[in-house]
Amino acid sequence: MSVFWITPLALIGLALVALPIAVHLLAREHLRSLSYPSLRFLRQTQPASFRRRTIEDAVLLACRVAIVAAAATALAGPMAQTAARTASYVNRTSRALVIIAPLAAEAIAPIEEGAFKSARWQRARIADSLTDAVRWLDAQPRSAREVVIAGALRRGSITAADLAIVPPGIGLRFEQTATNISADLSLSILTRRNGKLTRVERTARLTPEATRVTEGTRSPVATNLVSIAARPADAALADAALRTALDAGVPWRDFDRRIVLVWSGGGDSAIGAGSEVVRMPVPAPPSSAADAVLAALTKVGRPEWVEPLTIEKPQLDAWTRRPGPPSGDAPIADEGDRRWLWAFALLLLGIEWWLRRPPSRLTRFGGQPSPGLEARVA
Amino acid sequence: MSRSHVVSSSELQSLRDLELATKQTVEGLRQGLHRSPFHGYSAEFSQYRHYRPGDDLKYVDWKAFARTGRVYTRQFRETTNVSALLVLDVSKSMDFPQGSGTGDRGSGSSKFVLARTVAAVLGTLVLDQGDAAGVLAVGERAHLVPARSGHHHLRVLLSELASLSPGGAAPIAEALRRAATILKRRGLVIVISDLYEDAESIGQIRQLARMGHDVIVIHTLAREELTLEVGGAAEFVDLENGGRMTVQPAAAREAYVAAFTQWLVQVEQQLRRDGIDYLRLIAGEPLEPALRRFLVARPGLA
Repeated sequence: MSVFWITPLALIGLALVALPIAVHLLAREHLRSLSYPSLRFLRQTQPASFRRRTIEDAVLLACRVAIVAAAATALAGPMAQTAARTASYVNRTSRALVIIAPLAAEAIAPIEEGAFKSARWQRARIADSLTDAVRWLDAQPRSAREVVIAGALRRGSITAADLAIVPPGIGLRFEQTATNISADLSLSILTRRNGKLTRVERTARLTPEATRVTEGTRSPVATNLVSIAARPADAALADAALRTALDAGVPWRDFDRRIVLVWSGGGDSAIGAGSEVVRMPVPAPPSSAADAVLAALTKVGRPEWVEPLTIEKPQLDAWTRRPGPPSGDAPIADEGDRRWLWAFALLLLGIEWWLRRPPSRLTRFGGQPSPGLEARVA
Repeated sequence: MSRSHVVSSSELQSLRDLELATKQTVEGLRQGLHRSPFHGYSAEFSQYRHYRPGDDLKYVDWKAFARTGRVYTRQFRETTNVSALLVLDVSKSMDFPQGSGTGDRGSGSSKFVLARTVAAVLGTLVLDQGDAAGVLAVGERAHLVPARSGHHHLRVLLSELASLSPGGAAPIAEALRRAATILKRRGLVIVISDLYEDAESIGQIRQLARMGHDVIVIHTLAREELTLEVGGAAEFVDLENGGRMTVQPAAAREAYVAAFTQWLVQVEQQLRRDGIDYLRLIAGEPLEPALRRFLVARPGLA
């Protein structure tokens, strides 16, 4: 068994045990001298203070030394590292709950239940939540550590790169609160057919095994719905990139809003009234121009849709791991065995008070003389 | 035994203080006393009566016995002619409590100052009613101012009292024995003391009473002597014999008060048994009310 000190500097207080010893050794009783008319009615009594200051009263001195030592040791916060105490660290878990919306409030409480310490995060990016959770776990008292990721856990919401933020010694667990949604998704696509801008309705049927897309109706779209502007040196590249992007098809929602992509250096002459301008740098290298324009148009199109499929259970099981042993660097936020030492010091104070009580019963102080002792008249 | 000396400035101041205190107290007493507070014994023969056991043999008429073979005792007529002797204890034990005061003339509220003031007041009362008063101060030595009457003697009396200072440890027994011889006739003897005397002194006081003198004992005490409220532990030093004792007052108080009280009761009983008037005064407390109560209640004034 070893002893760990929470505040080892407080052991300097042990030097104060010299104080009661010094009082005993150095103090000398200097009784005042009092002239009195007659000693015939007095009895010699030894003042209690004599008893306090003679080295022969070893028991009282030892008691006082023990009081100071117990108090100083209590302040230092000793912790006996017994097997039971060490086991208690492993048996308690600090749990960080990372929430991926949506998650009902009544679903959170059961996850946090039974944890030694717990906290929750819900930020826009799961990587930020995981970073904060790991930092919090490192600051917790010595215990097993675990991150629980809870929510719908749809495909794409969490990746292996995100989970790499969590160190190996910290456990990972997932609480999936949603199921797959099988649905036919309808999307409007803006594309070019026969050199003309066309609106095509597509339907996608998504299943965990496959995705099947079918095309529906087509309708013409205003020619100037989407245009691009660049400086003369880039104009040809810009037109080619726009045609390529539109040939691939861009998910689109608002077919009444005119969009103008403007490359850096491009003039505003092509921008008409009521157009929405999207500025972007000149793609580099030129071979990426089509992808850049497609990405910009996709972003502008802002199609709304929800991933219906969840991350599969085998994948979650593969990511799941148990918490490792408590970190040796984790702080020990524990009162240790101080309370026992304070109780011991209080007990010693009571003993010290009992030891230095006056030798005889105290009489009334400030007492009036007995009746009849006042001036008497014949 | 009286002494004369050049009065120093401190003695003069002490005399003035004593005169002032005496005057104030006497004025107050006169307002409460409608008759003379003291009665004495003149030498004026009154009549004979048959001898009774216990009569002082000094008053037996031996001539009548020789003539008649019967024993007769002379009786005297009471008059207001008083010859008072104030026996004042000025031993060192009277200089308590010590502390703020008047230098070697005793502490401001000590038993000695009280005793001296009482002696001055009573002496003034006696002289004011035209009687004689004297002082016998017993300390290191005995100082005697013979009893005289008259206002000039009052000044002498007060001057002698003002010049006194506490000291020494002479028992008053010897002085009382001498007083008995000084007093040629029955008179008033007022003993003012703390009575820390051996049994012989108490016995001598009682003998004076048995001799026919009107004896008053004024027992002066300090409040600290009654209660032992003297602070914390100390080495007590006997004022008269220098003895030392370490005492924790808190621990010793109960036994001390019991023993002291018992001694006070015992002394009072012993003195009253012989018809002695006993008055206990506490230093530092108002003097006039206690003196008035005592003088009014004395037999003969009712």
